[in-house]
Amino acid sequence: MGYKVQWSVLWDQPYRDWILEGLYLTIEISLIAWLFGLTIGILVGMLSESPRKPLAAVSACYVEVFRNIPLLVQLFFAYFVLPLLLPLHLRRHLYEIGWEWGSAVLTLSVYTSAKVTGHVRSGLNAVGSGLRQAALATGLTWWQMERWIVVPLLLRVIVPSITTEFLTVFKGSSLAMAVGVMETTYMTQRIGFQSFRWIEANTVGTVVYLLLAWAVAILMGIVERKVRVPGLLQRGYVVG
Amino acid sequence: MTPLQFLDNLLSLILALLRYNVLLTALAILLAFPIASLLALGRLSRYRVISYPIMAYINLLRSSPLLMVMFWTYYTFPMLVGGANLNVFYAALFALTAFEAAYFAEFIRAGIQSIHKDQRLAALATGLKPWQVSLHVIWPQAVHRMIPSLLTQSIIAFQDSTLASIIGLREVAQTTTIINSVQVKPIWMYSILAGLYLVLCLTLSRGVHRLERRTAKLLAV
Repeated sequence: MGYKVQWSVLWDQPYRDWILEGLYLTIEISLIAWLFGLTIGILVGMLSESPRKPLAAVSACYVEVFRNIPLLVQLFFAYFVLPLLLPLHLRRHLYEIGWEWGSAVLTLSVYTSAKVTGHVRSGLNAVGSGLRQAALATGLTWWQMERWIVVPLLLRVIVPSITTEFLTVFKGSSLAMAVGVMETTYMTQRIGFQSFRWIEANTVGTVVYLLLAWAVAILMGIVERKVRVPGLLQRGYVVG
Repeated sequence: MTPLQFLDNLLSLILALLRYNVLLTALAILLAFPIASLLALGRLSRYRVISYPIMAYINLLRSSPLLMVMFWTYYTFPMLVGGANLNVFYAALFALTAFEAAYFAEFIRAGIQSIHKDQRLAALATGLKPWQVSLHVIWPQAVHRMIPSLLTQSIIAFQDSTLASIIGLREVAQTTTIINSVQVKPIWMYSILAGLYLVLCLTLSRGVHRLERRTAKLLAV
């Protein structure tokens, strides 16, 4: 049919600014969520090392709960339900300063951290009990063993599976448009509705995510090569 | 919320879940599996004319968000064929199938590659033809190994089917929002929605986990 693709449309104002603003928000939300997700994920994952059974169970439950509820449902929960726990004037204030942004970051952080916790837990298995016994046999205390043997190895072992989650954060940030965050996906649809240039708009959106994925893959590839543990990584540690 | 109202709402959500999410996911998985098998075979092909475009497809779909794929199938593709309107359900189905096929293809490829090369050589030495080796020797073993990861991915697909609410399918997440806009009971409604998914996916993933352990034991022999 008579659809003529015109790429120059994307360079016209206000579309150019919309794309850039969207890209900025996508990167901002994803990186913040990634930092929080990684930190919380590692901490909660380490709880499974705890000799106290209830504490260890917390990390198992954490993974199961947040991995088995769809990200969109969690986002709705954070956006619509969580503010209700606050008194009215605070709640109003929360929506005024942009709770759509906050709920997106919060949800994505928690979701990512649950995934990371899962990887940390299987990473702890990969470190193995032989190494732990050897460490204890040299006279290290339990705490020293964790600090100097288990954690440094763990952080290196989980890198390949963490890469997948880093990629997932960027893709997951697209859901934020459901509560009205104007990130890349939102902006491309806005351009589509405004100009009916759907092909151009969707292409630029897809390309943005593709480039981000490439950037992450290259970055994590470098990290992976730097920290690889010979002999430990080949042991069927496949991301599933 | 009275107990009767609670049951009524729960029933509405379950119906929406069965009618759209479960159906959507089931159809998408059934369609995606054969497509993904072909993609995986093509990806492993010796001929670059075949393997490169398939690799590009798989990487493109795996790095785009599902939401973006849905916008392609719902708004963009119908325009290309002359502005005809595509039913939301079919648009979502199309997107989810294309998306999951890319993920499935990678799991299937991993399954095929996990079978040792010597088996192929041994089977060829017994006089089987190459396609017979693939179909009767490699494929059955590979399927055994890839089933847990395919099932796990299917559970993720079931969760992802809620995204169809954003392009306007009246599935369970949207039904929740609609009921909530009438009754204004957000805490209840979203808790029911989350609880429903939690129970279902937890049960399913437990099942997959048990299957996985059984397969691992079987293959360890």
